[in-house]
Amino acid sequence: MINYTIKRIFEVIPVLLIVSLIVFSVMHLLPGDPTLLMLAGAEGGSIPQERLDELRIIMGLNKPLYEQYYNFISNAISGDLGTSIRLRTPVTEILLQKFPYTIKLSLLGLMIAIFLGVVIGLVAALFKDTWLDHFSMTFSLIGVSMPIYWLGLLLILFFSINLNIFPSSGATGWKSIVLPALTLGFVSAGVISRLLRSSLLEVLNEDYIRTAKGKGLTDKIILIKHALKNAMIPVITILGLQFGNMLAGAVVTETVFSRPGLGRLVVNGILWKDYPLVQGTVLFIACIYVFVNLFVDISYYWFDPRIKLK
Amino acid sequence: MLSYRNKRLIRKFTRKRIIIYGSVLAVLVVLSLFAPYFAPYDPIQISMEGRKSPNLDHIFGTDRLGRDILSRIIYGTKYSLSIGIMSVSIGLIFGTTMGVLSAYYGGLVDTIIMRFIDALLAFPGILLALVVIAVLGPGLFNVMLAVGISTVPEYARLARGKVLSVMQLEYIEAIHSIGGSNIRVILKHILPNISAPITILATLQVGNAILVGSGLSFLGMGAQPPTPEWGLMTAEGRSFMSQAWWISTFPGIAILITVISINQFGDGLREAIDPYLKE
Repeated sequence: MINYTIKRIFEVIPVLLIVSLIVFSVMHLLPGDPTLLMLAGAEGGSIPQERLDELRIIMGLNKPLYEQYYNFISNAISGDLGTSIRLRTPVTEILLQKFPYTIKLSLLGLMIAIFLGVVIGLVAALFKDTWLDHFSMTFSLIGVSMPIYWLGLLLILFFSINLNIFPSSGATGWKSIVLPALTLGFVSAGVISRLLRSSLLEVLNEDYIRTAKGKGLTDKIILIKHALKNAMIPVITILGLQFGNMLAGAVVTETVFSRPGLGRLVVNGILWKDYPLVQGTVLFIACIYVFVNLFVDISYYWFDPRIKLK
Repeated sequence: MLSYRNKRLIRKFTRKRIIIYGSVLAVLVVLSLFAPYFAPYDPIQISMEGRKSPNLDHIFGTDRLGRDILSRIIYGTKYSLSIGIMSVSIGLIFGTTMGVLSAYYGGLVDTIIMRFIDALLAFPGILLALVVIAVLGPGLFNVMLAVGISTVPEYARLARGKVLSVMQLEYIEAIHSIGGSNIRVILKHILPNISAPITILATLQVGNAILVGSGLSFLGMGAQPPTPEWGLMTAEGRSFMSQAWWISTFPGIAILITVISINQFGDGLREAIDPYLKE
């Protein structure tokens, strides 16, 4: 267990290197001159050659690729992700300012998703083929089938425009986070409940459950000690992904609710062609997500010791 | 154990579900192929009459440029279906192959494949798609490619996890000991065992791909105006939610119905092919 944990932690290093290489490549795979694209995106109009050359030198784009990549990595490690072309501010500064908004939204969304998902999935599996099962599954089906931005708009229409209970935009006060978090959580709850139901039903068919019943254990103990722990394996695998979906869902949710955050930063960065901003934000989100996945993998191993990696 | 009667009931329900949602999907496919015959108006033609609420001439109303929303939705069917099918094909084929090979052969193969997958996985959902879009630029085809690439890791991880579990089972060892080749073991004994969860994921993914694809269009990264793409149409009505709810609402319902039908159809298929339910 400890060996596996240490091994996984070391495995993160090459992953981060590949991630940084992919992010680094963004600017070099662009069709056309990145400096021209960026300055045209930020300032518009025709850009004099001197300005392009100047930016190329400032960003180190005149150096050989391996040197650029080395600088990119070493600067990133020391916390320097370059400067936003459009906002003329260090990217790290912008990220630190926006990060709290996104993490709050993602965590609250995930909590809503887990709570709703586990309750609905459990009820559906335990009352299989009853109206409760059908009701729960219809609810989760709508959850997984609904466009997240559309759900956000409907919530705005209902709770902000018609009832005037929650604000439709902004990030001031606790009320402003309710609708975005519900939007994020509802969609993931559908995924979690479907998966928990199907895996619980599969597990309940296993021989060891029959053995447990044969031993005379109560249904409650069988469910909690034998079935749920095994049925949660696929759910836990997908929880890491779901947290990622929260971070990614924030891209859309923050736009719908006009909330500040990392997601909107990526979208604006792409629309502005502000590549240092896009690279920095994407790298930052990816790093957070890598560490969440690391944690999920370790707990996955803990839940299912049958999986001994070669 | 299920009685014979119950088994028949399940089969019947399954068949009914496949038929109902299969029919909805068939209608959508027909609409997408023959949109000009079904749409009452031109989806792009601007009308001087401007925005109108649902009425007898325009049952879903018109948008701010006076374009008939029903016609735009009918024309938009093909965009959503193509995004779903194209991107899932890309994800399923590449992802499952990588996951199975990784778990089955282990060692260096596993390390290389999984590090690459982990690197792709480090970009959650729409973010990887956005990275691809940042490079390729906005556009419908780029969205399909971007969404497809972004789903590869999920198939790979799921397939790998399931194969690792299956490989612990004694019969795999038994087949090896009687001389079963690797390809035979993978195709005949491992794939059928992991097909149920992969099918569920693929089912969710066709719908999911449509959702992500339309989401990218909503953000302005996919289809561009005046294309009648559902995500883009929803975005166009966003600023008028309080005065003209229909502009965003009907395209959203179209997406919801399409994705529900795909999910239900896939679930019906799963119940028909799932070995546990056949027992």
